[in-house]
Amino acid sequence: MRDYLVKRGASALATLALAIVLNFFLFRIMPGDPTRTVVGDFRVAPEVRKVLVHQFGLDQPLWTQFLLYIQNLLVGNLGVSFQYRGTPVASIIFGRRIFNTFILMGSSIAVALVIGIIIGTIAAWKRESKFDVFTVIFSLVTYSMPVFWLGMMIILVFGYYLGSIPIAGTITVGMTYSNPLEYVADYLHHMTGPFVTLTLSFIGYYFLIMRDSILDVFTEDYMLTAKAKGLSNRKILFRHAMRNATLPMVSLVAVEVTYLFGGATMTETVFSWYGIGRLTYEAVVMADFPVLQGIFVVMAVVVIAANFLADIAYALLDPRIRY
Amino acid sequence: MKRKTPIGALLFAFLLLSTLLTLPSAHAGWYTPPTEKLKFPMMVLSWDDWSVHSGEAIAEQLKKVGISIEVVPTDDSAMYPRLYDRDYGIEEMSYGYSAYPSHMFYRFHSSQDCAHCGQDWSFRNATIDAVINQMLITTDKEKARTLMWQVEQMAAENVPYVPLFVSDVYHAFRKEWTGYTVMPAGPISYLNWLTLPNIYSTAGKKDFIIAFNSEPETFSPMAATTGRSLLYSMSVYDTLLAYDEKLVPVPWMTTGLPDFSSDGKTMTFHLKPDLKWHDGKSVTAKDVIFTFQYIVDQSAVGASAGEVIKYFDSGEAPDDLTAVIHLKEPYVWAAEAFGTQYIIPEHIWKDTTLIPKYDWDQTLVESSPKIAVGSGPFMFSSWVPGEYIKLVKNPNWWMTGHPLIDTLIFRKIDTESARILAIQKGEVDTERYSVEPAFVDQVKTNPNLVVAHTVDQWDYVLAFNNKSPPFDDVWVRRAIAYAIDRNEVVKRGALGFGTVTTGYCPGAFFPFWSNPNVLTYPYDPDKANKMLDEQGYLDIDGDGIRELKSVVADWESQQQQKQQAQTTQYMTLAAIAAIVIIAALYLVYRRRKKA
Repeated sequence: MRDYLVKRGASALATLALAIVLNFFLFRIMPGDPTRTVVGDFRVAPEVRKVLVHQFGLDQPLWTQFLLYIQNLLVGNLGVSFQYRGTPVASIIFGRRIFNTFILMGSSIAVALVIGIIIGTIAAWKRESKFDVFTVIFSLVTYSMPVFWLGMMIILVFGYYLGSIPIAGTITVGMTYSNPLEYVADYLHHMTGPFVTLTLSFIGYYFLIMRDSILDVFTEDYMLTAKAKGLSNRKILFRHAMRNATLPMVSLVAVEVTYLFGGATMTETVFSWYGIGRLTYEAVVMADFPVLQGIFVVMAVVVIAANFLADIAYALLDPRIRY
Repeated sequence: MKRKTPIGALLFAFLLLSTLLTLPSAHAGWYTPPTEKLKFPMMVLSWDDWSVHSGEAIAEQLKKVGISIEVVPTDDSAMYPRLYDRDYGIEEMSYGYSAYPSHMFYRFHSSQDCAHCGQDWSFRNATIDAVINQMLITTDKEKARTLMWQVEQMAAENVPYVPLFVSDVYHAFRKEWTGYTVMPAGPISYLNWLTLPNIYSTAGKKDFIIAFNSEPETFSPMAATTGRSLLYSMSVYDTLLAYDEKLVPVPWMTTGLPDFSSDGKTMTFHLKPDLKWHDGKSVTAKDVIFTFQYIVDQSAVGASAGEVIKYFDSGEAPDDLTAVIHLKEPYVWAAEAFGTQYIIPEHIWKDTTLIPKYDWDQTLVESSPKIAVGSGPFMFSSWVPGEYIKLVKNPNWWMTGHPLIDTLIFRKIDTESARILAIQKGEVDTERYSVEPAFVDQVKTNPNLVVAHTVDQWDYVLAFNNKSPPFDDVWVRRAIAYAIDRNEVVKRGALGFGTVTTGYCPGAFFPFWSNPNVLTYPYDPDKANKMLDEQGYLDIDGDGIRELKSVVADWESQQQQKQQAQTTQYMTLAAIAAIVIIAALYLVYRRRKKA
């Protein structure tokens, strides 16, 4: 076990190192000129542009920039943003943005997962029934619907015509709150739109995988055994079939962890939800390398850590996995 | 276990390769000047629909005069480096105007012909340089204007680029709001000092909410470079001067326009008495001098800061209300450039720095609003990142009774469709920018909204690489200028949401500076065709595209040579024939004689 841990840990660290190095050069391959997009204002005189270029270190040779990047990273410094005029990247990422994204993505993935698993199981059980046909069509439609369109429709109908949800943002503008609960209520009210949009768009995927996986399980011998033992349908379905069919879902969740911190650019943009997805988009548009690097480093750390933990968990939980 | 290596090696190879690709700054020359026909690729900015569609309209129009253009939508990351390297022949996109026509210097002066400089078109003309130099040191505006007219005329004669149109502003307000000023660049812009202090609601509403598509990138007036951060700075900080609705400078914190010494190198501002910072301390001339010194010492990047850095020599405050500024040399727009700087309080900023040592671990610019003490019409109240910035009225502002609103809120809404819905619903009162063309009709027909219409500061131009043949020939540039139907370009390129520009300093934006009698190039394809014919750009192979002058000349001399050769041939033949005939006649004659 110790050997296994050391091996997995070393390989995780090596992957991380590679990701970090790659991360730096990835953005430099693009033939972009951050100064022109960042200092796009025509009134900025050439002299001033030179000052900015110098401030951002863009006049340094690439290798000097790279060494600085590594050096700073080692002391936990992600650099400063171009587009936000020198605000530290860490304070841009680890602020309201990552919190907003985490809450929104976490809740919608969790709810979609639960709903997907439940209706997936039922649909598989009642295969070719009306329920099955309806849910399959429903999930195919929601899965293939463009998220931004769904979001805009929800804003138009519920935000504008019915007025039951806010059009944009995470809190009411200029509102003062008498207690934290009021704040939470306001926040959740604002989250309704993006939450519903994302949940709808996620359900289909989970549902289809769950349904297929249950159908697979039904062909296993132990299902026959369970039936032969005279167990009730409910017990067979939820104790034996669903539990075994959920295993692929677990590895799926490990992959979804990326989204928890990466956010959903489209939905965040449509609902003006101040999160990481929107930040990524802005950073790409503005050629804001430090911010992009920062996001990618954070994501790399999260994904590699999640996979490392999943490896260990698998090894502990599943006796079939040997090391 | 040994199988792992290939993946690692592959990744490493990829890394190495990508690094190698990056090192020579990945540039190998994109454009080759034509060698036969008037046929060129034209760069347009791929993300700007107006640039692309205007380019398509232009290509069709130039086809009629025998010039073939291939429109190449190009991303800015590829376009700008090509422009800097002059690796192009012809391009079309928007540039922009400042509040005063300094672009006439940046776009036409030889000193601006360099990478990252004012002009992308390699235009050099010693005569224009001399007049611009003269104009730049003329502090008398009337005299400067006469010189400006000359510059505009000479620019028009040389056609370094063809002006097309400026974009229009369609600004939507909830209909209860009034008192705003409609002027070039829009009723809400950082060139408009008049709207925010004077706007009020006929319904008695005291909160004015503006929707932004992104947050100000900084709260520091010394670092603001974009429209949104400048608008914030302008609300919280005050300036010595402002502009009226014709973009003519007017006194603001001062009692009048600045006095100039006779040599134009000393400029004196007189402050209004009893000006107060938001923390209650008095605004003095020392703060004014401090501001300029700070801009120079810290290489600030704010609006027109570059000009302050270039011209500021020293300053002194003989008393609390008099700020004397010594310039390195006289400058025609010194009053505007210095007068529109946001004045910062010395007692708060004196120990701050804007530029860190180069190590990336300090905040480059103080971008938190905690130092947001200005003397402007509004005071900073609160900021929720990603949501809104709340400003409240400054009750002690010098314009008594103003602003008329109590609260000014900048709210972030990411998409135009959501902003329009929010205005229609009344969640916000207006938005920072012009309504996007696709929404203009919808907004115009909404009974709750009013649309203010004016010109914006973005001007679209068709620019040439003036060094690259055939655009080094002024007649080609002139012919192209005649061949373009600007009305059609606006209609197709900008869906009609633009105003045609015929001059280089258009009256629609610069009513004071524009030359009313400047040479223009009205749409006249026949004239363009005639011009090209006369200059020797002919379509010799009949494919509808004209050949280059040199090709035509070669062809003509070839034709001539052919003709000459033919003549010689005929002559030789004739001579031989003559000899043969004579010989034959002689023979016949001899036979007859014998006989």
